[in-house]
Amino acid sequence: MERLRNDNQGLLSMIDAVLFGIIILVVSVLIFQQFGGALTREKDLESSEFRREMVHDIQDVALKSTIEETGYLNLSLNQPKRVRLVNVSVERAIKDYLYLDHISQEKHALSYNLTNLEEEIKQIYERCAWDVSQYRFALRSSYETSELFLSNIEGLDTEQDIPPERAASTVSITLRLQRVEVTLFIWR
Amino acid sequence: MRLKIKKDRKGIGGFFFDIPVLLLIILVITVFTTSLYQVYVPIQEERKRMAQDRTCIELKNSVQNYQKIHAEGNEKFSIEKLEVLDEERLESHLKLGPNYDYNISFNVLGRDGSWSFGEDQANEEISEVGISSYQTPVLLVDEGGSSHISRLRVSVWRG
Repeated sequence: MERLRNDNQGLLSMIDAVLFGIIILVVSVLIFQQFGGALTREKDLESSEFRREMVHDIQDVALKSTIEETGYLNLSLNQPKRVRLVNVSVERAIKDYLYLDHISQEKHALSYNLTNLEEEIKQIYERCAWDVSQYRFALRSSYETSELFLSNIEGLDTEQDIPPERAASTVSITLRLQRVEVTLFIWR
Repeated sequence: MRLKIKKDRKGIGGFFFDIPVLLLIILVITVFTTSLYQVYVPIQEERKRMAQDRTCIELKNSVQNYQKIHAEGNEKFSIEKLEVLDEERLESHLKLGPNYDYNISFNVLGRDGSWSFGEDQANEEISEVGISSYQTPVLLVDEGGSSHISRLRVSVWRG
């Protein structure tokens, strides 16, 4: 009778099973990566669609909103004179701001304090973006030499400071026969 | 690689050698099936949730485009028309699928005034996770012609 040798030559099936296990493990990792990656992409796409929809809504409503009373100070005269603006749309307020800021830079004899006008525009956007939907925002518009940049974040002064995960909506308005773009950025 | 079966006794391990192999295979298959299930179910849930979110946006767009609640000559909503809005007519305009329940509410910011249509969420036994909700600013015009920034909230859930 032949004596059985004590070696591992008969354990081929065990090696097969381990190999099978490794293949299954690799296949599982690939499947999970594929599914997980696709789902993450779909979710990202959906949340950016949500934000895009939201930014258009906020921009649309804010520009059509009415400021009951606002104004600015005309500092060009001997006595500063307050100019009242009643029931003006935000679009009109933005145009007034940009135009007055521009002409005060062009003609040194003219000077205006537009803080109140700027504050009222900011408040309307804040109500639409933050109070309704809890979005942080920044608004940018420019005409000739003037620029309007507003945000509800302290210290955010330029477009470069806005986080990359933002949504933007640009609307064109006409000021003195020139196309002026008003861009709103929102993010969380 | 193709193995050639030889006529010798080198490969014979006996039944007890097969038991750990079988156990290993059973274990691998069980772990694979369980983890696949663990991934598949949340993915399906998430897909359903995303479809529900899209339905919510579509519903919001339908409300925004519903001319019967707009003020004359503009896209703002009329408080007067919201007061007398027939819920059945609104529902027929919305064309929401039979699987969904909804709630639409308008709230004027900073002052009294709210209007709600559809099912009351408070009465439904649903978790917050099961609801898709979208809040957007809208303008409501009162009888005097003044417009007020308001919140339009559209919520959708599986009925």
